[in-house]
Amino acid sequence: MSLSLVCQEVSLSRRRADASERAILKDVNLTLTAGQGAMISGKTGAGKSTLLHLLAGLLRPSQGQIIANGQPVSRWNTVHRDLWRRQVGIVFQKPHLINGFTVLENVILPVIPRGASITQLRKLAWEALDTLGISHLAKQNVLSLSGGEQQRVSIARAIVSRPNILIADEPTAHQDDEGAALIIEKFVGWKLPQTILIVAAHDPRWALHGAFADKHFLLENGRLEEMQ
Amino acid sequence: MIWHPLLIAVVVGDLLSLVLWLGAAATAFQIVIKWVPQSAAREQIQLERKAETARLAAKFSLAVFFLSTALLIIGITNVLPEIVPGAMCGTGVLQATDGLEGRALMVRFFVFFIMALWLTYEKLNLSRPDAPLTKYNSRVLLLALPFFFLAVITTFRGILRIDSHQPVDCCAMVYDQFGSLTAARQIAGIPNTLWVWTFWTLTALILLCAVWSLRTKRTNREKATGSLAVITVIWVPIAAITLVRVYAAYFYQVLHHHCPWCLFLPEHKFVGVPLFGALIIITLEGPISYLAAKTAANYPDLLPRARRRSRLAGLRLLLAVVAYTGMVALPAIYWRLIYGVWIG
Repeated sequence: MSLSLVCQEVSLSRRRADASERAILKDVNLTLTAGQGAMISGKTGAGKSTLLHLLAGLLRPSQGQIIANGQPVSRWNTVHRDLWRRQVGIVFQKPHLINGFTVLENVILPVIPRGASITQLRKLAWEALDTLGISHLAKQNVLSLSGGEQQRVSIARAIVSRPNILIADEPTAHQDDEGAALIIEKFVGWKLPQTILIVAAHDPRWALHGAFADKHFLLENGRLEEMQ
Repeated sequence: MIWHPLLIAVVVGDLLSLVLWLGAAATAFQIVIKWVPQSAAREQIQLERKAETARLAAKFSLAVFFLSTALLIIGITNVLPEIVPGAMCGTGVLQATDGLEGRALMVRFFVFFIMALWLTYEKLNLSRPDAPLTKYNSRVLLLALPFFFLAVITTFRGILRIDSHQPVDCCAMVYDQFGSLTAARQIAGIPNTLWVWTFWTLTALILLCAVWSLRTKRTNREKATGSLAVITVIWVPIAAITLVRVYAAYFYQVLHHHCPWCLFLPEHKFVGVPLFGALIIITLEGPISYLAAKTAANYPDLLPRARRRSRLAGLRLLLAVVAYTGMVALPAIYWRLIYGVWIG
């Protein structure tokens, strides 16, 4: 079955301290197939990151399901869901790098469970760093990097396993114009017939690259609407 | 009641595992009445989350229950005989509990059997992402609950009866049960020799069935494992009877000392642990071999995993039977070669 990612009537709510429930996402429907890129925009606090975490299998919906390649992955038991998540690369809003590790070590981490030799893993990591133009930082401790550099390292970490689904949350937030242009250009380049790309951003610089998004969604009051 | 740390550990372990199993059972009950795998409604999604938590709780409960059972056995065989006056082994300790602890052990092993069954099904269940056996396995989890209560209550009542000032007869009781030498040489009116022949005939049968179940094609698999399960259920009590009544003599080097608990003493090199351990493995793996084969037939999605588990159970059973018969027969053969006669 070819690659697809579908949100089917997905809702998510959180329980408040007074036991009442706050709906974060309501009946979200979304369908993406291989080769498509999607842009999700919305105000701060609209639930963009939450939706991305649901799509990446990091959160479970309160209702509805997320179907990948025809399988309801959001309802799978933890062991199988974790295995499926290896197909997904995610760039978080904050870099979430491991302090004390070098850039190369941080980038290698997601591919270690694959069981390849350390030489192969290092080769993959160097390629990912080269792609982002940060191979010169490989031996540095991540604490010594600027915010923009850290963000690029986190993008390298997301693409090192060459995932079929790449999800990015504000990947250009800490970049100057030059850095943002490079990242956007890379994302456009990663839009291959066998991949699905999803980016949440309200950075207007993405709008300049119409080539990226096949679908544009607006998230407002927990509801997702596809914009024409 | 004596407040020995080991007994307190058993009671605390039992209570902890019971509470955990109860928590899992509450979810299992909801699953039995509300589980709708086709639905993506809020209730079903919540139930799926709860099911994962219940699985963890039940696994932890099983581990704690196993630990507390092991502690109880160590207490009965090697710790409490030092405390109960007149007790030299577990027989004396069980007398001190008015036999309650013996009953508790039987119920505990039955609970442990159901729990092991649940764990086997759970492993098969989790081999598929959609966990197709969840509802079925919840029933197995619920089935254990009344016996779990009974085991914990009986164990606790038995522990309460232990009195460090009241002497017991211990092994004198073992000898007192026979009115004559003839009575000591038969069980239920059947001579020991016939029991021994039955034991070895059934041993040959169980080994044949185990090999058949390992080598058979898919079509005959249920038949082979079913026969293995039935023979296991008959073989285990006969093996235990012949061990206590006939073969224990070669470990004790004393005639007609029909005590299972002395086998756990250090002077007999704790030989009761591997012997009864092998019997427990055989008791578990025989039925599991059949049930896994049945699951493979009923759930095609689980076929490879269930068949592998069925074969593994057959293999474990085969090895345990070989190890058990070796441990039982070798001392007897050694004695026969040295002294030229069988004991008794």
